[in-house]
Amino acid sequence: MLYIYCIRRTADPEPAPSLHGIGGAPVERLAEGPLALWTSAGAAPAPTVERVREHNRVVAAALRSATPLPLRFGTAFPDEAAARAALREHRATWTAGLQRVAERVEMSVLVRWDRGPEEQALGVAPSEAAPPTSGREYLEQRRQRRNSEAALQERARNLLAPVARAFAEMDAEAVHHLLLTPEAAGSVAHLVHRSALSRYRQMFEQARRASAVPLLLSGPWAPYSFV
Amino acid sequence: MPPDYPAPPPPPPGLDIDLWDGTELPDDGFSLVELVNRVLDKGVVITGEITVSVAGVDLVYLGLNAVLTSISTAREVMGRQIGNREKGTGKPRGH
Repeated sequence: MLYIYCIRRTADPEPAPSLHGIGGAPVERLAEGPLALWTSAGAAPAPTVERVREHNRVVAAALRSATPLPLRFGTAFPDEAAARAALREHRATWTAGLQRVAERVEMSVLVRWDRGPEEQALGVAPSEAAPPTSGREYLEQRRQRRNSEAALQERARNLLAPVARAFAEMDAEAVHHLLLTPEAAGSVAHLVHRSALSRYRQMFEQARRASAVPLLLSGPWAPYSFV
Repeated sequence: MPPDYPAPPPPPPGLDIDLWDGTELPDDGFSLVELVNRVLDKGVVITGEITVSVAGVDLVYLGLNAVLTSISTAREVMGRQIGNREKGTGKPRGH
C-alpha cells in the first residue's frame, strides 16, 4: 500500500531524506512522466488528530519548495503500479491544476463568533436531545432544528461577507467555509500569489481593526480549498 | 469596539511574512478547526481509490462537525453510513 500526500511536478524538489509522514514512515517521491506523487508506505489510517497533523506536515513541507496539489486525507493506492496509472490517467487535469496554483498559497481568515444559548443547543447531537414522545413532536423538533440551522448559516454568511469585501481589492480567488462550531462562524480562504503576501497581511490588519468580531489569520496553507 | 484578542506575532525582521519557517501549527482549538476543515474535507479526491476506514466502516468523509463534536455524533454519522450501505444507497469508494 502507498499512502498519498500530494501531487507535484517531477521537476520540483524531492522530499528531504529526513521527512517522515503517517506513522513515521519515510516520504518518497514517485514520478511518472512530468508528474509525481509524494508517498509513504502504508494504508490509509483512521483520521485521528495526530494522523491529520502528519498528513499536513508533509504537504506543508512540499509547499515550501513549490506549491503542490494537496490530497484529501485518506488516499492510498494498493501498489506502485496503481499510483503510476493514476498519474497517467489524470495527467492533463493535474497539470492544469498545478498551473492554476503555481506560486500561490492559501491564506485563511477565520471569523469568530459567540453563539447564543439557542444556537449552542444546535451542537447537541440528536441522540442526546430529549427524545420525542410522539410522531408530531418528532416532526416539530426536526422543523425547529432545521429553521435554527438555517438561521445560524445565514448569520455566519453575514459575518463572512464583510471579510470578503475587505479583500476585494486583491482580486484573488476566494472560497467561503461555513464552520458553525461554537467558536467559529466560518473562514474566508484566498489563493494568494507569494509576491502579494505582504499586501495581504496589511489588508488583514485593516480588516481586523474594522471588524466587529474577532478575526484570526492562518496560513500559508497548500491550496486545499482551490483544487 | 471589537473585543480584545491576542495580536498575531510580528513577522521576522527583514521579511514581511516568513513563508518558510515551517512552524508547527499551535495546539489550540482554532488551529485544529482550520487544519481539520482542510485536510479531512478539502483537497484532491481520487475516485476509485481506497477511502478512510474507521472502526471497519468505510466513510466518504467524516466531516468537520462529526470530528469536533461528541463521540455519539460520530457514531450517528457512521450509523447512517452503515444504514445507507445496507440499503444500497451509498457506495464507499474503492470497492
